[in-house]
Amino acid sequence: MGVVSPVGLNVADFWSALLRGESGIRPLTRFPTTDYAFSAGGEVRGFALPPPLAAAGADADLATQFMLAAAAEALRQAGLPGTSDPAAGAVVVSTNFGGILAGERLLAHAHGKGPATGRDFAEYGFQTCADRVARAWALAGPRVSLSLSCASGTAALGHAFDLVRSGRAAFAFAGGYDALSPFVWSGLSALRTMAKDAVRPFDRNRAGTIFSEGAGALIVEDAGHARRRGARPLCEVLGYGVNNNAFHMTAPAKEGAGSAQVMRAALADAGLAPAAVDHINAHGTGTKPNDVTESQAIQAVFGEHAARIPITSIKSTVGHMMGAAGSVEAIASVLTLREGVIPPTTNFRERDPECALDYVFNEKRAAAVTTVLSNSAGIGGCNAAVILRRVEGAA
Amino acid sequence: MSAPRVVITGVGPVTAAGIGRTALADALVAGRSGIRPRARIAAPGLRAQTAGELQGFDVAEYLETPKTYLDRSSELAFAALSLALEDANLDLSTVDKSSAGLMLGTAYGSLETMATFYADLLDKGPRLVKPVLFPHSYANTAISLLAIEYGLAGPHLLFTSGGVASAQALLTAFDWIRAGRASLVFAGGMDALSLPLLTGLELAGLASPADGGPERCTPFDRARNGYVPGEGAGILVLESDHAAAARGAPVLGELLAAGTAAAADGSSLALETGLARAMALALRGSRSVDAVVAAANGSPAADAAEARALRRVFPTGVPVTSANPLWGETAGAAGALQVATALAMFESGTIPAILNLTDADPACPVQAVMGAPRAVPLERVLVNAVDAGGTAVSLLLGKGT
Repeated sequence: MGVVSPVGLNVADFWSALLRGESGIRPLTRFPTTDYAFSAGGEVRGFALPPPLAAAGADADLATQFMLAAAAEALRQAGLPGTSDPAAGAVVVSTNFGGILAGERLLAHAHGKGPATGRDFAEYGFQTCADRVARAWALAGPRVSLSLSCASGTAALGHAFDLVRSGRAAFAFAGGYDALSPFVWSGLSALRTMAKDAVRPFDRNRAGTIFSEGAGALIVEDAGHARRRGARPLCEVLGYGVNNNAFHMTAPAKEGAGSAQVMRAALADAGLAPAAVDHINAHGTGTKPNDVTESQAIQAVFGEHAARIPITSIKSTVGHMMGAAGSVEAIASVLTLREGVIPPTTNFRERDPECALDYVFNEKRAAAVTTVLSNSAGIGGCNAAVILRRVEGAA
Repeated sequence: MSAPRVVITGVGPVTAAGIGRTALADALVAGRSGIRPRARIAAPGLRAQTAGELQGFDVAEYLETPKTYLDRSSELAFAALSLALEDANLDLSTVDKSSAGLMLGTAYGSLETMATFYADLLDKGPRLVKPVLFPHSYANTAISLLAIEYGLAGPHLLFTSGGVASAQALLTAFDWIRAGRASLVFAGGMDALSLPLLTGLELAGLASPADGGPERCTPFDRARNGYVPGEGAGILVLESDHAAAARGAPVLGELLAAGTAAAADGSSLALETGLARAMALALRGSRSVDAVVAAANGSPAADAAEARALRRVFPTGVPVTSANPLWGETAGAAGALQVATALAMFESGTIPAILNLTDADPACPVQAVMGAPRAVPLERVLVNAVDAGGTAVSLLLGKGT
């Protein structure tokens, strides 16, 4: 696994910040925000490409650099590609905005306001990030880019899982990435879904989400392939679902119908009864509509068992990492399975009667979790959910 | 129980050379190109002045309900799905829409709307942008609008893998249906021309005339000098054989197999190797193919790499065509439109000639169909899709029975 986030530039620092509940939300510095309605976001700070990638990735867009750095950490931990057949290694990346800083130079140039180069056009391209990850490690298997708004990271993990179980790849890199930019910030500000100070998921007075940036990477591998090369799994992927509310571009479906449906699809894919799930890493954006409809969806899917499932949203600390959100939430879920602790949903002050489940508010909680569901959703009505299980004797 | 077969029961092509299955087939048989001087995006400062631009296209003809705003790529996708449903004679009120899948591809998403939104940011500042445009600027805007319009609440995947995007969507729909996880998937892709796209292609030296000579779209020709960009959409109705039989749907063709691989580095040799491997995966040991619809679009290096890959996989040769000179390089829509081409070939029993190809490049060792269409019994056609970054998808199509 690999992470580049506003609260840590590797998995260990990210996880320890999550457990401490340390916020990554600060005033943005990449571009002046004086004219914007919102000025606080989750910027990645102190980032530099690790030395082995510094030369090869120097001309990559910043968003792609985030992905390359997370990929380096994940592949190093996995010991891949090692001596594996390069053709057996798939790359799946996902993003909302791709190489947006390069993209903005192209847009400005086409509008007669500034220079751009052919490199900018290439670096904006959504497939370029996948190409760069694949080439950096000479992977020649299936190569896929996905874009499903803020369900992207979870969908990438699910699609990587599909490529492995269908036999199209022995191992698959699954990554999500995005960067903040004037285009992104002006658009998200205009959506009026943001809070000014803090993300308070499931709180009665929650005022919105706060967007952030970074990348998350996981490696999905065929169990036999891992065993043969002596690699020990961090957990097992059991199933996933991906769908659409088929309701509205920006409003969630009534009572979270699409979200409920995607969680049911993931359970069916995993061959699990709802009662088998003992933790949910929620989408939990901190917006009024999301948190209530997501809670309703969990209630609908899990019934009486819902009240017994501890739920958390790490967006309270890392912010909403857009295309990377599902990736880093899956990583937090894996760490919960491995370490028996659920990171807190911070900034909580007051119970919302409409969000009546067991949220892990403000303080981390020890819990022997065996099966976790990580849930995501995004603009356009996209939903995705993935189910992960602890493996005994794991690395 | 054996895995379901994957049949194609409808196709909605939207191209500069023709809209709808019949118009596309006519254009292919007649060799009638839709590439001409651009009208919608004038951009007189650019070297390239022609494109596969849809002229006289009116999305209103394809909409169930009026829309206040649509990005051009969403318009093309709406038309493609509407045509595909009509072609498949599929009444959505008779199917389980909660499990109906929608898997599409796009290389450039809603780039024109991004440009419009961003122009306000540059000219007027962040408080005067148009909020309504932002949700229309996402890559997934078109696919999600289609899901909303038609109530398609099942599997929902948008591939943004450049020139292989819609081919990957088809491959993935194939995998889901084969695995029994879906029985009906609308799969394909769309891409629209826009000023930033044309600007970027020129900056990157990808568009004809990359050599400063005359503009031309001449796959495998010695004089090829880049590709001519096009716009369009293609959506196919894929069903399990059981689902299609249950509703008595006519079968236009069958997706028999799909393979994908990629180049390990940026070299032309790696692209050749990756594409050869994708074709081998789709063929699974057999070489019994009657024709190939190539991805070749006039790019100097990529056409040659594809030709060499074809020679590796078919050492004794196979007739090869390319539809690119009819509607230009449609990027995310290309794979789906090439599958639509294969379906038209099954129906007409002819392999269309590669338009504009007159001086075959010896560096492109393929049996290109030149001059006139070739009448030949067609049972199995291989369709290639290639992204210049090195990803390849190969789809094996069978004639519907």
